[in-house]
Amino acid sequence: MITMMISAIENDFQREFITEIYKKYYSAMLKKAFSLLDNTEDAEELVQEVFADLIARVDSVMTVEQKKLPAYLMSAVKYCAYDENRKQSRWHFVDIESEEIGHIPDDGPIPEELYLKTEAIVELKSALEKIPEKYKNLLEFKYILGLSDSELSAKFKISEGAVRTSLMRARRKACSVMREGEENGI
Amino acid sequence: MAYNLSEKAIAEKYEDLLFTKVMALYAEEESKKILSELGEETADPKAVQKLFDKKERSENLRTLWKYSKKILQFAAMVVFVAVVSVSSVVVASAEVRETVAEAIYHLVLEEHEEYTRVSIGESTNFVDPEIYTWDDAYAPTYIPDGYCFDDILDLINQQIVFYKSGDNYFNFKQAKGAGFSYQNTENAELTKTISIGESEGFLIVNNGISTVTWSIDDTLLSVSGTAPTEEIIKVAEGLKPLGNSASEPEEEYTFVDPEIYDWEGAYAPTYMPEGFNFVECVVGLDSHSNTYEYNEKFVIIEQKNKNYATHIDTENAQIVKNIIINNCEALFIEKDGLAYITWGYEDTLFFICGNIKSSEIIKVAEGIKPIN
Repeated sequence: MITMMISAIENDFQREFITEIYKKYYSAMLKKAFSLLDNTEDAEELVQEVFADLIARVDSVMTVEQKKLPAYLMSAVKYCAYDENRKQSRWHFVDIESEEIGHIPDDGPIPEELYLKTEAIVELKSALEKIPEKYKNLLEFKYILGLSDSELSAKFKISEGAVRTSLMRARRKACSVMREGEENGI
Repeated sequence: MAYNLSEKAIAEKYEDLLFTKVMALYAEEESKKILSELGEETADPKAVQKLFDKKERSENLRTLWKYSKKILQFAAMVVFVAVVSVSSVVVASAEVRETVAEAIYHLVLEEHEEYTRVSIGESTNFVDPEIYTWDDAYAPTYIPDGYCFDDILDLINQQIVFYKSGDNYFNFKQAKGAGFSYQNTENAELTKTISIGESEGFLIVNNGISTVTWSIDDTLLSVSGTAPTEEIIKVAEGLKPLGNSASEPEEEYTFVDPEIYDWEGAYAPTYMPEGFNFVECVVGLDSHSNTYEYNEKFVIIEQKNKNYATHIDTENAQIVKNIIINNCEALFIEKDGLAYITWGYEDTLFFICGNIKSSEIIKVAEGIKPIN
């Protein structure tokens, strides 16, 4: 099915681009999908959806730098895996109004000096590994996939305000983890 | 219009910009991890079209099989009805029963005369021992004068060796796993039991052809031909086990492209038709599919967990038959210039297809051996 979809791309350059993605990353995407869904058929179907989406947005996908493309594709798999009707999905978006979100401390705005320090960026990147998966996923969808607040709002069926608040929480959680690391001498 | 100069709005924009940079770095590093897991791969522009061709072929195969079930069910029903009909006629009619019984009688080994005991020489000078290379092979120690090796047919569990002298010939057959045989003795000039070594054999002379048949354990042996009957018997008596025991050290295989078959439990080909080169490997969740090509010809070797079914549409196929591949029952299909073989062994399912000769694809299938 995927090859048929790719064959239908009229533009030679776009078709070759998507083909290379398929050839190079299909197995990795399938493995990622399987890790999320635990079901072979659903995993294959999911990857098909991802490719259908990539083909639909091929112009913007082609602007993704090659050195970030693998992460982009894995994020795309995770994004497509989220579906309220997909009962085997292993993760779910944290409801902004749920109790869980209420327990996340809000340490206030990120200090301005962080924006000026290159090493802060590296440390924040490391801190991402330690924040809850659902926050990391949200940040991936926003910044790697480049989805807008309205798109995220429609996907997760929450208000745009809730999306912005969740993003803010995710960012500050990363900063909080980074600061804890500094305090503990890590 | 929203007011964008509040402290909160500015802080949000700063955070957004900061995390844009953070996530860019994160994406780079994650991508490196993914690539290192995938390994080095280089894009070959020529492989693009081949990839489509191959994938389209395999996807077409999958979609076609879903219709074959109905055909097989219909065929099974037809066979069942035919068997029931014939059985009914046989049971109902005494005349038919007599006729069938007589036919069966003539097809079964029967004793006519007393045993003829023939001495067996102890010669172990084998004739053409290099020909008899299969496990537990029997080889002749006597060949009539003037006869020389002509041909050999080495099949799964059965070997036939041909000798000839001018217009006369005889062949020696060895079949494993067949402890008895049917011989047509109707109108035979001579039928009698004889002893071959310590085994009871049966001699039939019919239309100038003499046949000696006997069995040792689970091996059926026979010598048959237009050579004089006493020579046929002497050849049979001179057949001895060559000593190619199955318990000997396992044959070492020379694999084709062994470095490709690097996953646990991998099976690899030991034979590929001349000129064929490896093109690509497509890895699924529990499957590996390797494509070999030469000019316009291709062979695909797929290994997968047997929980994944292989579907092949046999409708309008020119050939659909069961064969034996490496002691396993396999399905062979030839359709529209493509040949397919599929079989299972323990937890593994094998699927081979290609647009090469049937004999070649069977050789490829038989050459699939465990490498890891």
